[in-house]
Amino acid sequence: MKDGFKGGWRQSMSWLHTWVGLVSALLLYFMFVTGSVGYFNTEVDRWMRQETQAGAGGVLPVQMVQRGLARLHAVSAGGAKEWYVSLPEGRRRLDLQIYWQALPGPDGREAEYKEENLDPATGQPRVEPRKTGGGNALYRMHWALHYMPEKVAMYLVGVATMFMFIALVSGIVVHKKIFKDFFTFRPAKGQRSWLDAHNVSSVMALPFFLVITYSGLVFYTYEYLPSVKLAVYGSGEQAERAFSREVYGEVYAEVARSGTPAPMAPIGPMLAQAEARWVAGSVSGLSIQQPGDAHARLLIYQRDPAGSVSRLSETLAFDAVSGRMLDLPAVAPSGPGIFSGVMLALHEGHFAGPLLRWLYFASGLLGAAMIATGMVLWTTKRRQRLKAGEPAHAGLRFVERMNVGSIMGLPIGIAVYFWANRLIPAELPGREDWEMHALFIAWALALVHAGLRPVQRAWVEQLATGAALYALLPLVNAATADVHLARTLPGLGTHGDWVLAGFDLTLLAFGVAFAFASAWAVRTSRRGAAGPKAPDNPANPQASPAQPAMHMPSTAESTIAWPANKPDSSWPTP
Amino acid sequence: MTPMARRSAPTPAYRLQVAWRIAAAVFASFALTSAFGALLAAALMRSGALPRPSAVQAATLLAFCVWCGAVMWAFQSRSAARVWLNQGVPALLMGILAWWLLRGASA
Repeated sequence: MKDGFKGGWRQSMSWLHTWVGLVSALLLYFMFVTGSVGYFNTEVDRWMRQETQAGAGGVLPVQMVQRGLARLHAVSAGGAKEWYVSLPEGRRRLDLQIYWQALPGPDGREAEYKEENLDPATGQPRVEPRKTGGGNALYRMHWALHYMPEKVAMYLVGVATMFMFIALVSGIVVHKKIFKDFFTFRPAKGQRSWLDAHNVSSVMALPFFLVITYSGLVFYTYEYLPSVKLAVYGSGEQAERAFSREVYGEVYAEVARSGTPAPMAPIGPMLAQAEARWVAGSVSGLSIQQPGDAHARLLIYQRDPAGSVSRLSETLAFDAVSGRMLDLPAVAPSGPGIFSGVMLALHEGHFAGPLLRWLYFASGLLGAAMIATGMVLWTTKRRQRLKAGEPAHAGLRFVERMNVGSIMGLPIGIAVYFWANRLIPAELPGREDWEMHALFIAWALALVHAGLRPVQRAWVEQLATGAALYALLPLVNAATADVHLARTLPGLGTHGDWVLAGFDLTLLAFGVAFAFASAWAVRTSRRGAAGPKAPDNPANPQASPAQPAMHMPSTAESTIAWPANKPDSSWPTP
Repeated sequence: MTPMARRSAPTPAYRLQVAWRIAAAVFASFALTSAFGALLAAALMRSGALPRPSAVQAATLLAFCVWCGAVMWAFQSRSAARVWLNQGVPALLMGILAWWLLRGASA
């Protein structure tokens, strides 16, 4: 009954670690990069919408709500199923926003949600001289990907997240010397340097990776693992309603349309009741189900307290026609409910101040680095195993090229997204879509380029391209917009603004980092040309004595410091 | 097998074993995870430790970790058949017990 999978515990876990990592690396790398950049969505937005000055500017919440509702009236001539008004809230939401969903079509299909950003002073849609997806389009790709239905993306992302979870835990259990590896880096030793780089980047932010991965699953708890809910509540519409009522509370229950039109009670007194119950200025927004119908219900949402990692804010329900507050049974805070809330809050990191926000960003990039070094390690190891003169097989060559085009293609694409924002003519129809197409076209070109050039050259050229694209962006910005460094840098410019200046400085920093990486890749490829055999060949006397007993001598098997190589193992690495 | 032999391209038989092992890991671990979650939720509810919604939440949140462990276990087992046996049988037993505890519990 035995199959080819015999061998020790560590070998099998190493195999699993490599396999789940390899299968999901590209998607996970994409999620880490877009998640990190998208975490600065508001800041990216400000740079990309440079003509628009968002902000509430002292308008009272009740005025904003009234203006939002007036605009919703105007856009829902054919009736609506649901309206939302969201008030500006710190960096999280700079503008007054409305969302609405039209009534279902004659075939019963739900209409899509639409949204608009309003000027709080006038209640009219923001006039945008240039339409852009902004920072939110990048942020949204972190979970909804692009060019595919949201549902498909949700499951793809879910599988990748579960793989990440397995890769992390199996990576930890095969890893004997976590503490020691924290301080181990042996540069210019080929495979071993890549192994060290992979270990250091993984271990450094390990708690962050564990929490961010597990909490990622919590977002879609019952979509990813519906079986417990199905076993207890059963399936079907009635079961769904019972579950939603008991877990999330009666206030969020869906209201059926009566068909009888009815005017709405004035909003002012209802808002005043909510503010009296909480504190002034603590309303985050409201929604109305079946507006204009006799059954219309209004919900008023409380803000999460600033800097809090809990999600214990309250929601009040009103009969929108009579204006009476409804006494619906609330869900008592429960241990698991609070736990989920904290997990989601930690993942989204809305509570973080500037310093912690940068730390999140850095940890996210470290995650991207962990995955990228893992991808490179896979190929470096296989190349080192080749005997002198033995040609690399097609699969290895393919992955080597894919690595260049994937790892560098995405940052190049994001830089091109910013270039496109400044260079695509403002009047081009669908220009916000073309910004995004530009990102993916650039990425596709990077993959083609990697397929056509020798691997080492491809690395050098793409790193140099990345360096140029990022370092030149502040100049492009200066040439096309008036939010450039000479004006925005506090102390220097007349419009000191750390967000806009910080964006340009960050672009410069990435440009410089890619330039250094490119120069380093040039040196590496020269050394590679001098002696085609990798420097840390076990036969090379320099390699082993220099590092006695720290790690295994580098033979084919040592993905992660094994206690001893088992030559009889039949676990070929995938 | 010697290390030398390991470096040669994997045979079709080996690839089939990998596929079979992955299938076992995916399906058996999902069954084990689901049955474990359902049984835990049932036990928490029936013992009065947690009300129904919290029991489901707690069991599902914990089950993600069990899932991770079950997949790792599946790759550590001696053979794919063992995976089905090691995880399928407990899944079946826990499932039956959960079903028995949950009679009449659904909405």
